[in-house]
Amino acid sequence: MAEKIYWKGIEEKEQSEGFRQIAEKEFMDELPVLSSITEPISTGNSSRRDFLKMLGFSVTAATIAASCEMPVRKSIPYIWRPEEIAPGIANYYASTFYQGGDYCAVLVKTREGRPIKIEGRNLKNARVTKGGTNARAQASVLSLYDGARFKSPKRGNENITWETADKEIAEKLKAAAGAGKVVLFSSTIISPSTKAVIAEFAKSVGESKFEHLVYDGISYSGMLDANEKSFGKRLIPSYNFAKAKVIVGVGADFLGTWVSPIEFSADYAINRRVSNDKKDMSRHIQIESVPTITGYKADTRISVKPSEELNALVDLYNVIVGGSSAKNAKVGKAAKELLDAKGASLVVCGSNDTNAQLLANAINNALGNYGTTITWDRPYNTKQGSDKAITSLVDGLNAGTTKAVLFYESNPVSTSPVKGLADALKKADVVVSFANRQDETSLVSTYVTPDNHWLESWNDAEPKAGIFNTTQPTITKLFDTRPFQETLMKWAGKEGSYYDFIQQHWEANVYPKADHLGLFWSFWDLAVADGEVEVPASGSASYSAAGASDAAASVTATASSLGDAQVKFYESIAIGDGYWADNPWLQELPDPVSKITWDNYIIVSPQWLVKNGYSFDGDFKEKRYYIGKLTVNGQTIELPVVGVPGTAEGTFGIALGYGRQGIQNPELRNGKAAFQFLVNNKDGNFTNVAKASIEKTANTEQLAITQTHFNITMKDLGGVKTRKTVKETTLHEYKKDSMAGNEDRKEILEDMVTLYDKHEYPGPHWTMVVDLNTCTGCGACVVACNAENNVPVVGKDQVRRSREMHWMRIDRYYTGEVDNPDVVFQPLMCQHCDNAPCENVCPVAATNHSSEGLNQMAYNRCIGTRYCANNCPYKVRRFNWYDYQQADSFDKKWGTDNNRPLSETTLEMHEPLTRMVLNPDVTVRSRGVMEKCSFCVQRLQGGKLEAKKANRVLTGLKLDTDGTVVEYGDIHTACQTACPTNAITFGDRNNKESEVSKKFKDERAFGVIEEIHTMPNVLYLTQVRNREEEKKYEVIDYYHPKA
Amino acid sequence: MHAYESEFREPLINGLDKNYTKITDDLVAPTERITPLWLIATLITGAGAAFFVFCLTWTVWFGIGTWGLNKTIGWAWDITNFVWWIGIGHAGTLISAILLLFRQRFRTGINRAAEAMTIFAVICAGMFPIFHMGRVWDAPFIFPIPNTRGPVWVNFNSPLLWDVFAISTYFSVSLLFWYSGLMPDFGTIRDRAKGKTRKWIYNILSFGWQGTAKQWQRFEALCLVLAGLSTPLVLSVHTIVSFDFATSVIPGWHTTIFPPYFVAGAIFSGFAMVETLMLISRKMFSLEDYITINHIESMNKIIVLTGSIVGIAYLTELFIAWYSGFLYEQFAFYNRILGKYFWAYAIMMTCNVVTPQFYWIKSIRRNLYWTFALSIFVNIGMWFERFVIIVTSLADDYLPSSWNYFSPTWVDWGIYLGSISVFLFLFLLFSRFFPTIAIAEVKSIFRIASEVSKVARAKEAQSATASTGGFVGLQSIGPLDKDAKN
Repeated sequence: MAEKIYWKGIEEKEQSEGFRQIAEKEFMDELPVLSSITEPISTGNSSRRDFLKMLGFSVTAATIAASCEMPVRKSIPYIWRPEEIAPGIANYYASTFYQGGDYCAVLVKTREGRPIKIEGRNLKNARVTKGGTNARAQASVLSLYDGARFKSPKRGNENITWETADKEIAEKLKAAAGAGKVVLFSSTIISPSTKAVIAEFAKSVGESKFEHLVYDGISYSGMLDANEKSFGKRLIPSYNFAKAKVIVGVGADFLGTWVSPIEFSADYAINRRVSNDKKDMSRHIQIESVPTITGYKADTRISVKPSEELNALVDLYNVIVGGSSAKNAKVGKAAKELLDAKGASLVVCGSNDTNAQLLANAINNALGNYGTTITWDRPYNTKQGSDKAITSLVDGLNAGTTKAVLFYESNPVSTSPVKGLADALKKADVVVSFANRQDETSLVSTYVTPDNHWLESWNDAEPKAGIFNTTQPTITKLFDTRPFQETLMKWAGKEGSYYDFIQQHWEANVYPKADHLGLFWSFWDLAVADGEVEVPASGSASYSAAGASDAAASVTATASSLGDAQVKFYESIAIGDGYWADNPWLQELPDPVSKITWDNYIIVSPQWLVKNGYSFDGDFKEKRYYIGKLTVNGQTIELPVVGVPGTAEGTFGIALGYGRQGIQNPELRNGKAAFQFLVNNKDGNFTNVAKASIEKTANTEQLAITQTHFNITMKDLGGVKTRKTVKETTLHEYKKDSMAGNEDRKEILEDMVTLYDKHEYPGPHWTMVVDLNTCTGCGACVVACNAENNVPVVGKDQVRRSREMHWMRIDRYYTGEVDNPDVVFQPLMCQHCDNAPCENVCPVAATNHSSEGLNQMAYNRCIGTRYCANNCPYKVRRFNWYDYQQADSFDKKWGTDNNRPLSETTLEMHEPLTRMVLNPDVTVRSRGVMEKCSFCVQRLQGGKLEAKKANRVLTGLKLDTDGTVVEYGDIHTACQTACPTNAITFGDRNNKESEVSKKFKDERAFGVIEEIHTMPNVLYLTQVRNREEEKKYEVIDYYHPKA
Repeated sequence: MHAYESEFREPLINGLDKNYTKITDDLVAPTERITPLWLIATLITGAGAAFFVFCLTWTVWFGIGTWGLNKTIGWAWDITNFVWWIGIGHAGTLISAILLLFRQRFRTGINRAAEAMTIFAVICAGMFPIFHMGRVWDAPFIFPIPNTRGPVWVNFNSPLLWDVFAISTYFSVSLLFWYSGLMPDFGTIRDRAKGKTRKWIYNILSFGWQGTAKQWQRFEALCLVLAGLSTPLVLSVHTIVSFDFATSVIPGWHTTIFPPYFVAGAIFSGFAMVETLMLISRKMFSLEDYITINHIESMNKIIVLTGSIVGIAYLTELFIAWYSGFLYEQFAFYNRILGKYFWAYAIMMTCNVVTPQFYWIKSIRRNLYWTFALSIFVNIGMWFERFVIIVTSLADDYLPSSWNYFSPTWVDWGIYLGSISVFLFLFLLFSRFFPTIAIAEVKSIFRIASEVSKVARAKEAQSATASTGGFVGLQSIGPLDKDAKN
C-alpha cells in the first residue's frame, strides 16, 4: 500500500510557486535586522519608536565620540595650491643623485610636495646608469628626513644665524688668507657649476692663497696615477662591459662598488642574458680574495690571497705582454682565454697600487682593448681624488702654512688613515664644515655651515665627459641650511642665487656645445625636465708603456712582502666609505655576501675558522661568533670572525666605514672603524691590503645575520644541493637543451593535477619572472621595497632575533666546495601562489585571493595568529612583533620604559619628521599584524587607474632585443624598476603578448618548490654559467630515486 | 567452609570500618577544614597564577615580541602548551564518559577529580590560542557573528576556526557533566553545613537538590545523556587540534596519522596528569581508602597501552617519511632525530615510549613512588612531543635560507610555568570547596551487608588463630571484595 501523504493546506498539496519559495526559506518573514538596514528611512514605514531609537543612538554615539580625546592632526592646507600638485597624485621630477663618487640618474617621486621615493630615469635620459639604481641612491631619500641633520649654522656647539656665520667666517678667511693658505677639502666634485663657483671663490681669496684638495675615502688614486703615466690623463676611461666577451676581474667588485657599478651591472647583464634566440653569453673570470657579489656571479672564480691577486696580475702581464708562462695555471688559462678574445676582452683591477694598475693598462693595451671595450671619449669624472691630498693637508696644517680649511662632502677625520688630523686641524685659524649631518670632521670644525640635502638643492653634474645632468629641488629646505655653492658665493662676495649661476654657466659652457636648435631657455627647460643632456665628446689618449716593466717587479715585491696572512679592507655595498652609516635602511640591508646587518666583522675562510677553533655554535642557534684580535702594523682591531665560503685561507676581510663615532645615534655607530689601518704605499697612495696576524679572544658576539646555514652539518640529506630551490646549468648544456638544469620541471607540471576548482582570473593575472642569471644580489630592490612599502627598520637586536621585516630578501645559496663554491642569488618575495597555503588557514580570512592572482592582506582584519606565516613554505611573511611603525595604536611613551624592546633607530623612525618619508599609498601596519609583499598593489591600482582615465588598455613592459628596458608601461613594481640589470620582469600573464608571459613559458623558468602544488606566480630563470668544464649541476630525482 | 569470595578483584574501597556515614565524613572533610599543607600550596600556586596574569598582561602590553618567536618560527611554546593542556584534559572526559558507558565502576573514585582537571586544563589550554594572537583585542573576529562590515565572515576552511568550535563545545559539555555530577554532593555538604551562609551557598550550588527519587532518576538519565555526548568529544577534540597541523603543508605537520596519534597521546598524557594529581591529593586529604592501588594500577595499564600506541605512531611516522621518498619529509624527520633539536626528540622518545614500558612489571605498576615518577616523565615527554612537532618542523622547513632557532624568553617561561600554577591553584581551590570524590557515586559501589559480615568473619578468624597460638593475617580470608557479585 502506498504511503499516505498528509497535507495541512491546499497550497502545500498543490505545491504552488509561492508556497515553495516560502517553504525553502528558513524564516517566513524577512529578517528584521536586514530590513532596518536596507530600507531607507525616508520611504519606509518608520515609526516614532524608530525615530527615537535613531535619535538616542546618534546622541549617544556623538557624545561618546565627542568625549574621547581626539588626536590633534597637524595638517595645514595649501592657501594657494601649486598648480602641479594634486593631493593623492604623485609627481616625478628628474634629478641627479651624487655622493662621494656614487652617481645615479634618478626620478624623484613626490607626494604632496614630499620626496618619498627614488626611481631610475628611463634609459634615454640615463646614458650612464641606464635606468638602474643602487641601494644607496634608493636610501638617500631617508637621509633627507634625518632628525640628526643640522638645523642651522653652528659655531662650536652653539647655533648661530647665517648673518653671524657669514660675517665671522668671511673675516676669519680673510685673515687666514693673509697669514697662509685657505684649503677647500672635498671629495670628488662632478658638478661643473660647483667647480666654477669654487674658481670664483678662489679668485676672491687670491688664487695663490687657495688650494682645492680632492680626497676620496674609497680611493682610486693609484688607478688615476697609473693612467696619468700611461695616457697622460689623470682620469678613468669608459669601460664597456657590453662589448666584452671575456672579462677578467682582479679584485675589482665592478658589479657592487667599483667605479660605476650601476652602469657596469647594466652593461654586464646585456651579455649575460640568454634566451632561445641568443644562446650565448660573455665569459667572466674573477680573481679575488675577499668574496664580492662580482666574484660570486663569475663563471670561474679563482680564490686567492690578496697578495696572489697581485701575482695573478703579474702572471697575466707575463703571459699577455711578455709571452712567457704563468705561475698560477688557472690564471694562465684565463690569460689564454683573454688572448683568444683580443679586442673584445676586458681586464679590470681593483688595486690602489699604481704599479698594479700600470700592469692592468699594459695588459688591456696588449689585448687591443683600448678603443673597443675601453674608450677615452667619455672618461669618468666621478673619481678624481688623490691620496696625497690628505697628507698635504696635514703637512700644511702642521707647517702652519694652511690657516683655514673648508670641508665639503668630505669627512677625512673618519675616512683617512692619517693620524693626528684632528689635532692638526686645531692649528688652523678656522675650520668650516659644510656637512649637513654631524660627522667626525664637523665635530672638530670651528664652524658648521650646513649644506642642503641634494633633494633640496639645485645642482648639475657631469659624471662622464659631455654628459650633463641636472639636480632640481623637490622640496623646500627643511631646516635653516644653505647650498654650499651659495655660501661660497656669498663669501666670495658674489651676489645672486646658485640657480642663476648654474643657468649662466650652462648658457656659456654647455648650451653652445649641445646640438640644440632653440634658444637657451628651451634648452634649459628640456634639460631640467629630462635631467640629462649629452654633448658630443671625442677624447682620445695614446698608450705609452712607461714604467710597465718596472711595475711587474715592484708588484711582485709588494706581494711577497705581504707574508702569509693578509687583511684586505673593502668597501661595503651599503655603507660605502661610512657616509651611509647613519642611514637605517642601509644599516639593515643584509650584506649580499655575508647576509650580516648592522656591523662589520672579519671575513675568513670557513676551513680556517674550523681549523683555528673559531667555530662556535655550529647550528647558529644564537648567531654567536668568536671575536678575533687582528693586528696590522702594531695596531689592533677586535671584531667577530665570520667564515665566508670562497675566502682563501690566510685572507682576512674587513669592511670600511663602520664604527663611526661621530654619529649622534649610538646604535648607528656599530662595528669598528678601520680606515686607520690603510697603509701608505711607496707611490704615496693608501693600499687596502696589509700583512696581518690574528689572535683568538675568549669573547663572543651575537651578529644580526639574516640568513644562516644550518645545513653545514647535514650535507648528506636535505643539503641545499638536493633541494630544487635554485637551479643552474652551464652554457654548454644549455646550448644542447634549453631545459638544462630544469629537466625535472616537465614532470612537476605533469603531476600538477587537482580535484578542486582553480581560481579564475578574468582580468590581468599578475606574474613576476626573475632571471637568476642577471640578478647580482646587490640589494637595490630590497631598499626600494623598504621605501615603497613603508617597511619598518627594526634595529640590530630585533634582527639578531630574526625579526627583520623586509618584504623581499635575497637568498644566497652555495654549491660545490666550501673553499670556492658557486653561488646563486635568489630574490625572494611573496610568491603569490595560485594555490596559496596561507589563504586556507587564516581563521578570519584576512589573507585572501584577488581576482588578479594577488595573495592579498587585509590588515584591519588580521588578528595575528601567525598560522599563515607558519604555513608559508617560502617564509616570506613578516609579523609585527612590536609596534615597529608607531601605527598610532599605542601610546608612544610605552617604548621608553626601562625594558624597551624597540631600538633607538626604530624610535627615531617614529619621529614626525622621519615619517614624512612614508608612502601615503601604503598602510602603516600596526602591532600584531602580519604583512608581506603585495606585488606593490598600490602601483597596480594606480596603473590601472591611469589606463582607465585615458580609456585605453594597460600598456606593459617593452624590452629591447638585448633585454634592456625601453619602457615600463603602466604597471611596474618597485623592485623591478630599482634593478640595475632588469633581472625582474613583471606584468600580466593573461596578456599573451606581454614580456612576462613569454618569460613565464621559457624553458628555463621554474617555481621554487612548486612540486608541493603551490602554483607560485613568481618564476625564476635558471642560472647559466659559461664554463668549459662539464660540472653539471647535480639533479637528484627524489620522486624516483635510483635503485 | 566460607561463602564464595572472588579472588580476582580487589575492593574499590579499602578499610574495614567503612559505612555510609564514614564515607560522607571522609569525603566531605576536606571542604570543612583548612590544612596547613593546603594553605601553603594554595599560596604558592596563587602567586604563580598571579605571575601568569602578569606575563599575559606584559605580552598584551608590549607585544608578542616579548616571546622568543621569530620570522620562521611563528608558534612555539604557546601552541605547545595549548596542545599539551588540551591533551591533559582528555583523561577526565574519557574517565567520566567512556568508562561510565562501559560500566567500569572503578572510575567513581577518580572521575570527579579527573573531570575537574579537564575543566581546568581546558581553561589553561584556552588561554594560549587567545593570547598568542597579535591583536587579542580583535579576537571576536573569529566568531561567525553577523556584522555590518559587509561580506566579512570567518574562513570555514581554517582549522583554527574548527578549533574554536571544538574547544568551546568540549568545554561546555565537560562543564555541564562535571557540574551536574556535583549537585547531589553539594546537597550532602549543605545538609551537614553548620553556618547559615555556608548552607545558603551550598544550597544555591546544589540547585536546591532534594534527593527525591524523581531527581535521582533524572540525574541518572542526564549523566547517561551527557556521557553519550562527551564520548565522541574524546575523539573529536584532539582530532581537530591535530588538524591544525595535519592540514598544513609543513613537512612534519602534513601527516594523516595525526588524529589517532594525537588522541592516544592525549589520553596518555591525561592519565599521567590524573595520576600526578591524585597521588598528591590522596596524600593531602587522606583519601587512600578511596583511591586505591587498584585505581592506580588500572590507570597505569591505560598508560602503558596508550604509550605504546604513541610509540608505534612515532615509528610509523619515521617509516612513512622514509617510504614517501619525499625529500622534505625525510629531512624533517632526519632533522628531528639528528638535528639541532635532537635533545628534544630524545627526551620525547625516552619519556613517552621507553619509560612507560616499566609498567609491564606488576610491582612497578603498583608502586606509588614509581608511579609518581613515571607520571611526571610522561607529562614531560608529552610536552616535548608537541614541542618537537611544532618547533622542529617550523624551524627547518622548505627553504634553507629561512632556517632558524627558537629560544624562549622569560615571558615564555612565565606563561608556561604560570599556566601550571593556574591549573594547580584552581585544583586546590576545587579540592577545598568541592568534594574531590563523587560521594554519591562512591556510595553506589559500597555494599554494607557483605562488609559487615566480612568484618565479623575476620574477627572470628582472628580470635580462632589467636586461640591456636598462631598468627593468621587478614589475607588468609581472601580479599574483601565488595563487588564480588558483579
